[in-house]
Formats: sequence, C-alpha cells, structure tokens
Amino acid sequence: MHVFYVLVLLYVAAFLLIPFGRLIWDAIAALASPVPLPEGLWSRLYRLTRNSLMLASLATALSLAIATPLAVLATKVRLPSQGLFYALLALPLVTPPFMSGFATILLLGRRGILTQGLGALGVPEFSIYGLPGLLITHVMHFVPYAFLLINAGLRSVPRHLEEAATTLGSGFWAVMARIVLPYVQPHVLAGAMLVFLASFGDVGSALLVGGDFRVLPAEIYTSFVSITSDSRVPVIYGAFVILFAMGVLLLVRRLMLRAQIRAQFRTTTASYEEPGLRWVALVVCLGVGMVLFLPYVAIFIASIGTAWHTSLLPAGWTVGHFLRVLRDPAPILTSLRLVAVAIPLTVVISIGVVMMVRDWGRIGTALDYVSQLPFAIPGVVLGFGLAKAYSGVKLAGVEFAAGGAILVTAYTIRRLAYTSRVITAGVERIDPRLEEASLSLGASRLRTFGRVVLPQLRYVLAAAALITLVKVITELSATLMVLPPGWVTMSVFIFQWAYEGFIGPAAAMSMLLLLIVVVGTALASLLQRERA
Amino acid sequence: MRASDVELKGEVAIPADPPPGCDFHPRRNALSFGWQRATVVLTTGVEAMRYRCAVALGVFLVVGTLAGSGLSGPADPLLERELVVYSSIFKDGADLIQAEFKKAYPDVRVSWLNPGGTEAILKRLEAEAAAPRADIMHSGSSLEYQVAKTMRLLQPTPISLEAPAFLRFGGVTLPLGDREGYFYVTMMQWIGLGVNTARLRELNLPIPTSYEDLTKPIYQGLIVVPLPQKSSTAYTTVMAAYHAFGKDRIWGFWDRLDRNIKIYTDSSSLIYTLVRRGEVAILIGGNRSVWRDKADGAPMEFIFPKEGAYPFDNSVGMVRGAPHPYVAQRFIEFHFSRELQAALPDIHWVPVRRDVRTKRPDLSLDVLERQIPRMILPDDRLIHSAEVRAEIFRKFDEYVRRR
Repeated sequence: MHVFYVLVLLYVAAFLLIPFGRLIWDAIAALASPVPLPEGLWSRLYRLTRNSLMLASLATALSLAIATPLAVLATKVRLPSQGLFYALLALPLVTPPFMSGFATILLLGRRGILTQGLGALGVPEFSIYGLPGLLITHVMHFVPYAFLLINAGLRSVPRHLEEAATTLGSGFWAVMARIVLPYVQPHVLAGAMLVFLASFGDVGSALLVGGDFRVLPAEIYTSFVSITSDSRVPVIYGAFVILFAMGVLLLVRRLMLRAQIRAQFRTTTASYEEPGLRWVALVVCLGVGMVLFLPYVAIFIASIGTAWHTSLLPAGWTVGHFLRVLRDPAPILTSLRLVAVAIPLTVVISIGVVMMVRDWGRIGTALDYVSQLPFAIPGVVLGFGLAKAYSGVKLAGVEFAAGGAILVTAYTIRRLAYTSRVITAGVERIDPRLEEASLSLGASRLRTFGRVVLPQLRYVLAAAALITLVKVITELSATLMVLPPGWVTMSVFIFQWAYEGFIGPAAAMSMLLLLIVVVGTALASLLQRERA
Repeated sequence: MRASDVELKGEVAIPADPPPGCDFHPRRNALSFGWQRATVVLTTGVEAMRYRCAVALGVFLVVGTLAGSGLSGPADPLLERELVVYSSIFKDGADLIQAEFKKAYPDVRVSWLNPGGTEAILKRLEAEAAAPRADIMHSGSSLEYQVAKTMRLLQPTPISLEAPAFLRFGGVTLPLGDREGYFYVTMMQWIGLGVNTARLRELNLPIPTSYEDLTKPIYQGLIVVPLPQKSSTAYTTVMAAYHAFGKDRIWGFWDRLDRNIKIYTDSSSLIYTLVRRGEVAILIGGNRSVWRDKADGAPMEFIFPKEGAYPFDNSVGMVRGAPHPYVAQRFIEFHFSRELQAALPDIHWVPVRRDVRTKRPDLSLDVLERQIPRMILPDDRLIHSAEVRAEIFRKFDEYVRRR
C-alpha cells in the first residue's frame, strides 16, 4: 500500500503542486524584476476581482434564494411528480455552464424566444450582454448545485424535532424558519460556497455573454493566448487567484466539516401533507423545473433548425447539423478516449488520497487539503500552470504537453476534489472493525484493502466514476489552455462553433454530449440496480 | 538539418530525412504503430477494470501516464501522412479546405487546431519553437505573418504553382505575400461596416455609409468593435481607421466613436454573432462573415466606407522546423490550385487568382474592383511601427477602463 501512496503523492506533487508553485514563483520573479510592469496592471486586477466577486456573490445569493425554498418544498412535501422534477433539475448538473450561456442567448437575446414573447406582452427591450446575462446564466445553471446540498441537509433533520414543533402549534413555514433552516445552515453555506466558486471560475459563459463586463478567469485566458499581452500579466493574475482560492478553501473545509457532522445523524424525513401546501409545492417545483429545462429546449430547437436569426423559430428544420457532426466524429471519439483513461485514473488516485488520510496522518491530511485546491481554483489557472510547467518537457522521449496525456492529467487533477469527496463519504461508512479483523488474522494491508475495503466501496466507486464522467466530458476551461493539435473534444467543439456563431452544429454536438451523459448515468444506475 | 532531427537521431537512431521524394518511411511508421498499439492495450485494460485489481491498475496507470505520456500523442509527428494546421479560419472555411484537400490528398490526415485566434497561434508557435508541433500557420492577415517571420517562427517555402506576387486593384498595388516565400496571401476580404438592416429599420435609422457617420449620436449604443489588444483582426480593424483618418485625426474620431460603442469584445468572431442576431446593429470588421450571414438569410449588409476600404488579406506559411515539411509544402501549394481558388467564393472569400472562373462571379476581384469606391493602400511604416502599436494599446486600455 505504501508504494501506491508514494506514487499518488508523486502524481499530485508533479501535476498540482509543481504547476501552482511554479506560477507563484514566476509571479514573485515578475514582481521582483526591474522591468516595469504594464501600466494599469493593479487597477485592472482590482476591477477584474471586483467584477468576479460581484458576479459570484450575486449568483450565490440569487441561487440560494431560489434553491432554499425549492429544496424545502421538494423535500418536505410529498409531490406526485417528484421524479420528473429531479430529472429536470439534473440537466444543468450534467452540462457545462457555457452551454447555459449559449442557451441564454437563444432564449433572452434581443431575438430570443422569451424576449419576443415578453416583447409581445409589452416588456421593454433589454440587453443581456454583461452582468445581467452572466447572472441569468449562472443562476439557471447553479441552482441545482445548491439545491442538492440543501436537499441532503434537509433529509438529515431529525423528524422528532419537527413533530414536536408541529404538536406545539407551529405551522409549516414557522417550523421551517425556526427549526429546519437553522439546522441545515451548514449545508446552505456549503451550497453557497459551491455556487460561489463555480461562478467565480467560469470562463466559457463569460466569453459568450460577458460583453464589456470582464472577469478574472476570462482575462487570464485571453491574456494567455494573446501575443500582444505582456506574458507576466496572466502569471500574476493566476498566482493571485491561487492564493485567493487557498484562503477560500480553508473556509470551505471548515463548512464541509460542519455539514458532515450534522449528516451523521440518521433519521427519517418528516413530510407534510396539507393539501394547500402540496399545490404550492407542485406549482413551484414544476415551474422552476420547467424554467431550468427551457435552455435545453432552445438548444434542441437550434440543433434541428435551419437559419435562425430574427424569427421566433428557425426558418425550417433539418438533420443536417447532426449529419455534419457525425460525418467527422473525431471530437466525440477524442472525448470518449479521454474519458476512458481519465475516469479510472481519477478514481484510483482519489482512492489513494482518501486512504492516505486514514493511514498517513498529517501527510494524508495535507494531501487531502492540496487535492481539494482545484475545487476552488478556476480551470484556466490549472491549465495555465500545467502548460507553463510542462511546456517542452519530454517523458519517455515524447513531449508531455503535445498529446492527450496533458489533458488526462488536467482532468484527473481538476476533478480529484469531486471524486475524492464521494469516496470519502463511502470510506467513512465502512466499519473499521472488519479491517482490524482481517489484519489480526494475518492478511497484509494490501490484501485487506483489496478483499475487505474495495468490495464495500463498489457502489461508491461507480458513483465516483459517474461524477468523473460528467465532470470530465464537460470540462472546458483547462482544456482550452492546454489543447494539443488533434485533440479537439466535444466541449471545445461546442464552444468554438458557438463562439463563431454556428449555432446549429454547436447545438447538435451539445445534444450528443447530453445523450452520452444521460446514457452513462442510466447504465450506471441500471448496473447498480441489477447488482442490488 | 533541423534541431528536431538532431534530437530524433540521438534518441531513436532513425535516419533524419526520408529518401528524396519519399513520403512514407517504413521505420518511422513502424515506430508510431508501436505507440498506437500501446494506446489500444492501455485503453482496453482500463475498460476491463474490475475493482479487485484497481490498485494494481492504478499503479500501472500512474506510471503509464508519467512514463508514456506520449502514447496518446498528437497526430504522430513522425508520420509524413499527417499534417498539423494551426488556423484561425472560421469553421466553414476549415471544413471546405479540408474537404477539397482530401480530394487531392486522400491519404493525408489533417489536424486543425484553433487555439483562440491568430494571436494565440503566434503565442503557441513561440512557445513550441524548440520542438514545433504544427506544420502550417494558417489564416490571419499578412501583418501577423510578418511578425511571425520576424520572430523566426516561419520558414521559406518555394512552391511550384504560380502564386500571384502582386495584386493591382482599385489603383493600388498590394504585395501578395513575402518575397522570400515565408508566407503567401491566398484570399482576400476588406474592412468596412457590417449592419443589421432589420435592426436599423426597427429603430428607424439610416444605414451608415462612412466611418464618420458612426459618430453621430443616433447610433449611440449600437456599435460593436473587437479589442485590438486581444485580436489581430481587431488590430487590422483599427489600422483601417488609422489609415482612413491619419495620425492627427484618428483619436479625435475614435473618442467620438467610443461614445457610441456598446461593447468592445475580446474576440473578433463574436462581433458577427452579435450583429447577426440583432443584439447590436453595426460592426466594424471584414466583409466575409457579413456576406456569409447574408447568404444564410440574416438581414445583413456590408458597406464599403466612403473613407476607403482597407484590404484584409488571409495568408498561409510553413512553420520553421515543421514536422511534416513535404505535406506542408503541398498544402500551401494547394491553396493556389484552380480547385480551391474556385471553391473559395462558396465560403465568401475572394480568390487572389484572377484567371480562375468561379460559380460566384460577384465575388471576383474584377467585379469587386468596380464596387469598392475607394481603396486604402496599407502603409508599411504605420503597420509595423512599434510606437503606433503601443499608442493603440494605450488608447484602448483607456477606453476599456472608462467603462
């Protein structure tokens, strides 16, 4: 086991610590250099940080304002179409945020479907480009993230507390406000942090609908790819983001710890059956679900529509966009190849990180903290760090950054935080006495791990693999920074075509990406059901 | 002999150059086949993973990723039937060139990569200069190719087909590429105004006919322009206005124009999407995309401004130390072939060969020469002046900061 741990440690050090450390070091060197820094660098950094924080804060506040009552109603009131509601809510979870940005243009652009509908109702014209468009995109996309965390918290509230309050005469909303919400406060905060970080790190939507409202990750990307920009600018901005994220991560970990403590109480969930309440819950949940579903309707229409410029719907219908996408399936095959390698690698490394926390004390805890950094650091910074640290470096005679290996590495590191959290949850449920029994009977640690721990983790590993699939196949920001020739992925295809205004092929590829994720999810759940 | 060849010899002891005229090198292909097989073995192994062997496979994968990072390498740089093209051309252009080239060279697999525009291509080529991955720098104005040549990122490529060296058009003579063969101009467009006629009609506004018209208060909040700090196309756009107004009047003009500009985009491609969808009514950019959108049914028109239309050429060149120089040379030559030049108007580019008949005579140099009221001759001293470049960036930093 120790050899395995050392390999995991080396992997994380090589592809996470070295790239980030190199960026910070280069930033210090740039600041210490006698060559004057570009004029207005600090004022620009201030403005970009302010914009990014404003966007992330507003997106978080609005997402929580929607997700909290939504989660309360969906969890505490028995709904007839709960399955449909959860399915609608799951769509943003399995698609990249820039797809929502793309859909925002189709829905709420000046010629968008909704805009034209609102115009017919007398609503004056508005422009979505800038903060409003980004905010709409992020809220539509990130509400389910907050919802799921709050939902998990609400399910852990001891039933008897609510029953006692109800017996003493409190109504539904009073119980929620005074008993339930204070109880799930850590989950709400964790949800807030998740939305905040996701919004803060998003690049694709910012480039599509950001307009003149510039944010830090997008600026790092555009400075990195431009020959006219001072090459020290993205380095300094990148290092700043890393240090900022490290601080945020400390806060996140504290919140997560609090959330986990509460989640350990096992209880059944109290549910309320007042008829009026059921109607309210039904209308609100399905209403929000349908609104969150709208972007996908717009993308579907675009995928089968011909010219769609100023009319409410496309001028005609075609399967040509799908044929175009399938005629050259290289991006699809590339994504599948990358996923096939990245999923097991991410899961294996995550297992190593999680087990080291148990077996290697402080080193394990430190590694756990480090492995969570990519959760808080935007993908562009990770990609930038990898590109800088490994440009021109040859391994086994072949340039590391010239092939798919750099993409697999970027995905593994970037999604480590998600996968390791899922596996941690599974490992914590394993009774340590089983391992102790195995060890006391003379089995080695490796054998105990293989025969006792892993079999108990099989379903958790399937879930971790599924999350990795979704997060890897939809990854864009790190990919844009390190993309080698011949490795255009589905996400990159969608982004580049949408960016150039070819919405048909971009939408068709989006639908195929969605299909792959949905099929993957369905297969995983089928497999689990069969085994159960 | 190139630097990359020396490295190759040292590591795998394979002769650096194939026999003259030979595209296929058996030892090189055998080597790359070995890597491909390793990829298949690894992928199959991953797919067949069971939880009981997760640890062993994990170790294998970690070591495999570290040691064999190239096993899933790019289009194999050792193959002569591969071509890596860094191009900022729009997707419809890449599709057309790819399809036409495939007809002529069915065995060559072309990998296209747009790292984010011509600026990004230059940055990539600079970063990869020691071990180039790309064979071709494709698309973007000759201005950027001159920069690439100065940075020693390109290599001269003699081509067998007769590529026109000059273009006499509208009373001016434009060089079509580099005298020493570092790059060639393959197609043309012009900088002017793109307007969404439906949007202007809705607002009851006239179609502007000159740059000066754009400064009128009636167009406030209706104009989109890309930022020159982020895009070479945008830089060419500003250069067009710089030439039209001259050093003394340019900033007075742009200060007035700035009041009417709604968005400065980081990307030059986004401006066409914004105007086509009516988000903004007017753009300053190239005619190619406007004509493409118009042909696609969008209510778009391109206006050659009264002050003069600025030529915006599109070039191609071979990357210094290109891994596949033979195919790269043919790819460049192919751009001047009758087939491709005749097909360019299909994607609304204007071919540089006057002797080629196309299905779209309206997009020929002869017809356009009669349509364009005034041509601007680019001034090399202005275009390549570091002071002018710094001045433009400083002014646009100010414009962005004010917002």
